Amino acid sequence: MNPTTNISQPLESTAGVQPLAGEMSLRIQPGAGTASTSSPSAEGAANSRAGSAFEVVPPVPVPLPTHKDVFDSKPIQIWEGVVLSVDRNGMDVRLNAKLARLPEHTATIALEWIHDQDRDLARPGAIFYLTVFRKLSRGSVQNAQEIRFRRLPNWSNSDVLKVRAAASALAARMKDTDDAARP
Amino acid sequence: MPRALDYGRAPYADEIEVTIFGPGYGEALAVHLGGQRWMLVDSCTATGASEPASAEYLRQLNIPAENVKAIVASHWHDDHVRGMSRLVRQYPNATFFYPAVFSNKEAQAFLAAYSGEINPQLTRGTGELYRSLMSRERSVAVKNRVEILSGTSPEFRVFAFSPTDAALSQFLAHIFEYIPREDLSLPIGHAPPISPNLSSVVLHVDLGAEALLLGADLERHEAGWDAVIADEWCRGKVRAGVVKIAHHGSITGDHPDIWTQLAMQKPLGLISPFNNGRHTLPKAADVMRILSNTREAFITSGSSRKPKIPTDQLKRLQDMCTAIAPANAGFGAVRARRSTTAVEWQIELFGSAKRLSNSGSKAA
Repeated sequence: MNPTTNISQPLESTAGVQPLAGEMSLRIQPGAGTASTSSPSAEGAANSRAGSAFEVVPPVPVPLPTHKDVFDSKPIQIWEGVVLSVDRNGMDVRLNAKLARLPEHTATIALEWIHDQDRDLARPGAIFYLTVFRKLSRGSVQNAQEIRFRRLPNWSNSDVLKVRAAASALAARMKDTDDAARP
Repeated sequence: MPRALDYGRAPYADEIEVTIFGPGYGEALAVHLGGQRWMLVDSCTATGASEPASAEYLRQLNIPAENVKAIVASHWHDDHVRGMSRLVRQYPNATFFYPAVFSNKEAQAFLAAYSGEINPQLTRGTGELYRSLMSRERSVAVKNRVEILSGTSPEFRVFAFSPTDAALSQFLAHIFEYIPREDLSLPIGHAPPISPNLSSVVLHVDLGAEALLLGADLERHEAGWDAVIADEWCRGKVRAGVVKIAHHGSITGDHPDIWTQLAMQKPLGLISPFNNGRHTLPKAADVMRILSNTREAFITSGSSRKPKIPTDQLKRLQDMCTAIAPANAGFGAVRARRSTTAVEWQIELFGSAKRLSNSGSKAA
């Protein structure tokens, strides 16, 4: 099954908001039946088309969920996952349920489920949360799910110092093979 | 709390045994070397249990803690060290052996970084090994061409066939980019799995007339099985009548010369499966190969891999995930035991363990 698109807000013109370099904007003309995208650099050409059903507008910020939206979302299960391996066929993961006592499971998740901004985080060892929930939207119940990767910070200099100290403590307890006292 | 398996009686002093435990994701061995001396290799836990499987086994058999002479961590992967630190604390008189790849300063920094001490989330296999090492005053590194244990009445000697010096270098090359340094912007994360596995400790237990070959997870590579096979010192040892098949029966953990140079013709095979998402071992082709190389082979866990998740939740999860399976498919153990005067091994199966067969390979 393919991922669903869950942006359902109507697109409206927002005066004064300009697209950033490289951003794309989309406007669907009522009744036109089709849509197209354009970048800022293509604006002139698009606007100059006589009789075009499309109008280039600045991008529209997606509103944050209202309190009611959040309130009407009911999580069914939250899985804490660890990425075991990644290849072009998907991501092998280990899943631990957070909302009930369930056995640990393993699974494969297609990469298309991962947000573009999280793709760089999908590497072995990464931690993520897979939430499946029901939400009430305009009177109808919808199933929804999302994967959010935990974006951990880089190792800090103080972490590095702690690692060195721990490694030294470890080394003091590790005897090399050559001086092993055989039992 | 799962119901514990009934393991029956302890071995007599003149009986040798090797028992392999496995829940579907995990492996551990308990070896009775004769004369009430035990060696434990790796650690795993039964589904839902907190006590390591080998500790539960020895407790049921009423084996005093001081009879455990050695504990060996063959390598640091999560499926081989679960509960290891508890095992090491439980048997304080046993010498703890670890793979010599961690004798190096960089490798120790790697282990410390991913120990969970600095970042509590990072507590997988590396954490178990770190805690095991830190709970002892002294532990002993194991590399190839080393004798780690010996005894008399009955006589036995335990040798390590790996890791080789070349594997040590390869290991360092693999882990180097994951060691936190001031000059490196490295995001915090779990320790990555490192493939191929060259750091595993393969053990050879010389029992006089025959031997046990405990293959750990060593894989085929010029610094892995190729190096072991090429070493005359290894090939000169007594041939094994029982082989703990390496790397859960995978083709990468096999080498045709294991069966002609290190083992007797058609030895007994012991194996634990590896269930991890779409990666499951042994595959049908592996089972065929193992059966052609062994007289008989036995697997610790051949249970169904049906998910253990409520139906409504499972349906939702299946929208996004494929190959959903419990990490632990069903716990079992295989025991091979014989007296020093007997010719044949007696095999006993516990829990989900079963004889490996072509038809059973799918379940495994």
